[in-house]
Amino acid sequence: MSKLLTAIDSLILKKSTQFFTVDLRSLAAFRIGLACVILLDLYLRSLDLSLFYTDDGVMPRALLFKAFPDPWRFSIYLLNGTAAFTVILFIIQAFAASLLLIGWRTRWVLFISWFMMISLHVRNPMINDSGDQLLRLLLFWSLFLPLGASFSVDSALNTSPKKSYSFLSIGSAALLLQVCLMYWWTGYLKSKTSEWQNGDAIFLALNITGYTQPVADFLKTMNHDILHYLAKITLVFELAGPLLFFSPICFLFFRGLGIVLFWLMHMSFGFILQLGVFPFFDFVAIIPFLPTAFWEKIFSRFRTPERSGFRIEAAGISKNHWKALALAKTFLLIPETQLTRADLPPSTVLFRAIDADGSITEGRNVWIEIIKHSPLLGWTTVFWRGLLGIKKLPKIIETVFNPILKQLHFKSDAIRTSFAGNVLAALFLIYVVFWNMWNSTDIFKMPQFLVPSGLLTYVEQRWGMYAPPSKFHCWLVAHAKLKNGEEIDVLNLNQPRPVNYARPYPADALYRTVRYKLYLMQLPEDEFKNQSGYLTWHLCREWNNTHYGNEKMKEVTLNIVYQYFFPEIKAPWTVGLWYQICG
Amino acid sequence: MWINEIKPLDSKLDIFLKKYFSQIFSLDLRSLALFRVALGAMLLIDLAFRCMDVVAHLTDSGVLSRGLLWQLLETKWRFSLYFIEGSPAWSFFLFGFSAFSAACFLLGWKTRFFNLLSWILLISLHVRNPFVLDGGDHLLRYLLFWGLFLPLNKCASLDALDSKSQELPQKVLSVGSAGLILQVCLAYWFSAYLKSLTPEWNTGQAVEISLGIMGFVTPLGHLVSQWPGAVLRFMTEFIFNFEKWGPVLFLMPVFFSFFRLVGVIVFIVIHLFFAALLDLGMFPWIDMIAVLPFLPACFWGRAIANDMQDKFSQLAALKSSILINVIAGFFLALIFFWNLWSSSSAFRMPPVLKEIGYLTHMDQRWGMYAPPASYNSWIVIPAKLKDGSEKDLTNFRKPKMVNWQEPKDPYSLYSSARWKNYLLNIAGTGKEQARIPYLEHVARKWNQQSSREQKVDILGMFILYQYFFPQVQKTQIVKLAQADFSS
Repeated sequence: MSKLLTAIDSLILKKSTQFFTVDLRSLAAFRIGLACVILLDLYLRSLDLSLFYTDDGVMPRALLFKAFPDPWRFSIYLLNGTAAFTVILFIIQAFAASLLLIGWRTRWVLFISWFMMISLHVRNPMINDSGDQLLRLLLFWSLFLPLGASFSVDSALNTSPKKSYSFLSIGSAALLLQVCLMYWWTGYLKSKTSEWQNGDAIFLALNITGYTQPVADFLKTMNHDILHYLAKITLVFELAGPLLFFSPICFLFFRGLGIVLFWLMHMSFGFILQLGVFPFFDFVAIIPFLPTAFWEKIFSRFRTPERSGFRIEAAGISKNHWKALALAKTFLLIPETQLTRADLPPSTVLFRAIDADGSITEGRNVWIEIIKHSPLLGWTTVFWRGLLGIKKLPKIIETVFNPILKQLHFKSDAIRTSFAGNVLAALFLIYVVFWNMWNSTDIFKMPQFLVPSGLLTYVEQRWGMYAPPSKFHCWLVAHAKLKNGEEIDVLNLNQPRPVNYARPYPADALYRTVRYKLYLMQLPEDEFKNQSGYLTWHLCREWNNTHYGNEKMKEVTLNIVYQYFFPEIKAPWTVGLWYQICG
Repeated sequence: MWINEIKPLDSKLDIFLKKYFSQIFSLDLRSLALFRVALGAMLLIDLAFRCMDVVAHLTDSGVLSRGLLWQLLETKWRFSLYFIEGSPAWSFFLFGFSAFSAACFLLGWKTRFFNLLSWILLISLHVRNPFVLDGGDHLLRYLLFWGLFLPLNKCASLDALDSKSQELPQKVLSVGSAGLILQVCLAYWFSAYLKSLTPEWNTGQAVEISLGIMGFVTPLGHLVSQWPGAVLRFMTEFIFNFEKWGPVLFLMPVFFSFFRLVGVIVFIVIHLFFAALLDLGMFPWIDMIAVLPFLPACFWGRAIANDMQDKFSQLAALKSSILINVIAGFFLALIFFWNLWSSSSAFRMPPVLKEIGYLTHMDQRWGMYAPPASYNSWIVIPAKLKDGSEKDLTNFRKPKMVNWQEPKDPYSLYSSARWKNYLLNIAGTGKEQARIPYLEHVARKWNQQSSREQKVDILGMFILYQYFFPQVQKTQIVKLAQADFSS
């Protein structure tokens, strides 16, 4: 009996080790994905920079303080209320994301990225959705993981011997489980609503103006049985799908299947619905699940005889050269190339490349050889060879890269877990599980003294996307009267349109940017309604800044039109939100 | 930094001017070290006085929440690290960090870095609660700013220990040193200019009036105000002329060292008198610190034993890099134009310059006692307690009986100098929103330490005016706010 128990014990241990181990290369890919979506997100947010993040916009700091009086929230974006400061902070944040991309001092840069991202979200809570919640949680859990242990500047210059690509810690388990928690809780919350139970939900989601792509109009016309069926599949998949990642039998097959299916699901969401950057965040969130076998497969394909036989010998070259070679080795994905300190013939030769067939290349052409053997950039060899024709190239490259290389240093940094990190990750993992229970069910109440740490780190969460989808949609009309009597809709200041209270189609032109749409969709909510004055005032001022004489705006009325489309389409009705006389 | 050699010039006037300017705008490195130590000590003293009121002054749970302040800020170009978060934890962290930074600055460890840090933290502190500030705070901030451009760490510092004992020149000559000198001179000159516009200073009554203002005078000052009118008129004339001509002592072309030494002594003595007569908080002391860098080399030659002197030689002055000089030059021009702009309506500032001035908080106006108020004003905060009794909680550390007459003990009207500034500030127009939160704060404080029957029911806030010049008039009472806590 006890033997059986030990066997089960060891089996559980073995399986959970398998389940929650992440590959360092997956983490590297995850890091690059994170950096890219942060840059994308920042670019999209920067389109509305002064509107949403400064005291001149729709959310001045004094209003933020009144409308969202959460203590424990911090934001570096509150430092100052001018656009100039905000631009500087955006640039710092983008710079941190770029450093994250190349993996320079990854842990620090990650911390800064996380800190800045929370700050950005706190600065204007009106324009965040569940995607942003996911992004900040991914950043938070990344703090516990060695995201820079592979394919990064850190790893290129790390002199400690590489042991294995597998990494297991509470942090790795937490990152994977956080993604699963998202699916489980959204599945749970959806299953509580009648719309998802009886299968109408997909049809509803396809109808909401402003949140659908053109394909949705086609799908809407499909047989309702198919849509009901799709709704049920989506619900079941969100609840049961994450289990595919943790199959005790045929682990690799099910892991791979899970990854592909989730990616497909998010891609189809992205093609059918207009969810802004959310699908991209989801896509990145799945990357850490990629198992070691996936990378082994790819790298084994790269392992050709030419590449295995290729080696570089160097002697007496400067430290910067060594660094450059190490970086090239890492970023061109030729890690198996031997880089040796050799006794070269006492000539002017400092380093040389030796091909598998024994042919020797010297001088500048060594770099061409290195690129030629790279599975990543091998195809660009011709281009680089052409560039060699430029006489001044080495000089230019040296002046550009030498100062940068000088800032980099070889370091020995073993990849390992720390006891404190594990304990902290475990505490937070338990914490977020209970937070979800508190936020989404009545069975648990979070003790008051535990709430602040969730607010401070912003790990608090609720995954109520489309749970339930609304049965009506709404759109806004900013009905402006000009001095010359003309009446136009100025909701999108770049593209004013004739006043028309009918459903806008397509709605893209109405909502300039993703964040503007999120803002406009939140604004009619009861608790935010009285902020409408900030928007109308902004419209007045911006319009009158660029228009003169009779074209000046006299007054603007912000109206909202509601329309029920389920169970049957009803006549729309209009509600006035705000009337503004432009000063 | 490099050593400059004076090139031969053609005309004698050129040589004279060159020599003159390089003399008056250079500062002794040892004096700068003294300046650094004094500044650091003053920063620490300021923090020590403030530390009891961190929660009340600098957090959302105090009298001035961030949301309220953001509505009241006079310009959007202010920044403060205290804006990032509103909890006591964050404020205490920044506050403690300020103390650490000031201590490092005092000791001269990584001096320039901690100078910058102390300056940013000081701006943050000042912006977070502008209503508790007085002129001394502003001057302290400007001095710290000009310190950024100067080699404050060349002696008596941890930095100097590290550097090899190479021969150092005695003094520094750069736009930064000129900036510090002219900043101090500008303060006096523009103060004198603004005073010259008022009749009180021209007729010689200013000192008499100033010594009558309750709450800003020491007992000794009160005594002096009883002196004969002729003496007081003479004092007015003297101060007026001192502000006009005093700074010239630092800029003399002949007997340079002598006049500088005399100037420093005269300034320190006069400010000691100010400190004795007027209750201006740290202001006179910071004024004294401001003239310390002007101490000439001869002072040190006498004060310090010969072996210390070996390090310093008659080499030409230390200079600083072009970039630092350009920046210092820019700010020197900025403060000059800012003073012109804020003191006279004839001059206009370009918006960009204004923004930079607000951002670095170098905006300045030296309008102390120009004119002195010819009335007394004081705050009364009467509380009606649950047991029906009434108390005046203006000084909530030492409550008194409510008194609508002129207070008998004008020296303990308020809890502290900072609270005095705060109350008189929020009594002003445009700050109405800040009054109720203040009363709520008082009620909270009072209720915490008193029994059930002694709890506050209703709190009022009044300002009382009494004109005392040319003759004493009846007291006027203005109600500012009222808050009901009975529920």
